Amino acid sequence: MKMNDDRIRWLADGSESLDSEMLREYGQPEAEEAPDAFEMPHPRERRYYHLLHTWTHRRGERLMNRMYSVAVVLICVAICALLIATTADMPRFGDAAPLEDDNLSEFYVEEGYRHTGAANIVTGIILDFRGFDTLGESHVLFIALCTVLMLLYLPKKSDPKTMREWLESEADDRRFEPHADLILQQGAVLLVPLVLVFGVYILLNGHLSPGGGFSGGTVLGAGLILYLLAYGFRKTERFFNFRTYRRLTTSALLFYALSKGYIFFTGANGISNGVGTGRFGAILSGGLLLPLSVAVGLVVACTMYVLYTLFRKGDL
Amino acid sequence: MTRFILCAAMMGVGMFFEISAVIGVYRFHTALQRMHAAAMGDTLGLFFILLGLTVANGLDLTAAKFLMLVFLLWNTSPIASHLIGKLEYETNEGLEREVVSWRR
Repeated sequence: MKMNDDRIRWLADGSESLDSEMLREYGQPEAEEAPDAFEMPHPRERRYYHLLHTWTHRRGERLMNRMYSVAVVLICVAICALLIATTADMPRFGDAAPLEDDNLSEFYVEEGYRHTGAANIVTGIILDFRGFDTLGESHVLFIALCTVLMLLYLPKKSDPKTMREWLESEADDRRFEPHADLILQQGAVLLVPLVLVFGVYILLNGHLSPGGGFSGGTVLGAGLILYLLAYGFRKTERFFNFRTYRRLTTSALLFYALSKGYIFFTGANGISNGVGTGRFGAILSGGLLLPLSVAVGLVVACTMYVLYTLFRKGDL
Repeated sequence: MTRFILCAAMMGVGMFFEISAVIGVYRFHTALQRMHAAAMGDTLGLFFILLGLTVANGLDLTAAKFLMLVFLLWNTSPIASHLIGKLEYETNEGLEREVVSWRR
């Protein structure tokens, strides 16, 4: 509790003696508390517990490691075999014959509207005909961010060493960007709402005009970063912290996968899916294209913003 | 015809600012001087070019979009230049020498 109060006070007044105070308070590792006495009611139960514990720590861990390596090798070999088998089916390099009687692009242009209901056929293709491709791209963003998180995230633990690291990064942040620039703040007052509204417009209008999830999400993320630059972490962490990021991204990706799976399943089995294409050019048209592009945009915006904050100070 | 001449004059002035900005970016020696040249191209040069396009186009929705562009450019570019200048001022240790060198 005291630690928390100190942190809040530092953030509030930004005292010059931050470093000395930090070193004095957390330079020495705190005294270890005595572990709780673990009472076992019965000696036999205690023996079983002991057996299980030692088995887990010695043989179980080794077994899991071995199974993990075997599974990794098997999965990689299977994917390699699948890819090679697919490549063997592809036409030879430079062979023009399959392109001559290929009418897929004409089909997209001529019949795309009837199937997807999108006025902007590019969005219709990437979110409908090639929906799995876009799902994979969103997951690539998510996985890249997970890797950066593993490398750069500084967890706020009560452990003195990580606590000191975190406080040092916070102190650096305060020293190098002590007071947000007044001119930038006045500019951000004007620009951030414009940028955010424009991003939302691109997101929601993706199936009608050029735009869609990726570009709209990028604009949204840039607006958030501008707001962060002008007003600092204290303002942004009120509405965007790590929990927000986790919930937003996971629910967006889950929604995408589930709705796309539903559409593909019903389409492949000839069942009516209950999602019409709507009137041409209306904002609520194109079936699931609008919510799907919103989901992709959320993932992209969160990824941009979190990447920036992680590279800046290793936290949200 | 008057309109064409007006438009051409505007575009010419804009091009003059743009070209001088490019020359300045390549010929000046310190970061602050280069920044000054580049910011001038972003604000005055693009303003005159967009003004010339507005004259050629006439007042309609496209002209409103041009004005919007000018508004955004005049808000963002000076702020970015200001921040770059601040960074240069705070991080360049030999700045004093660079700034006063013209006195000798």
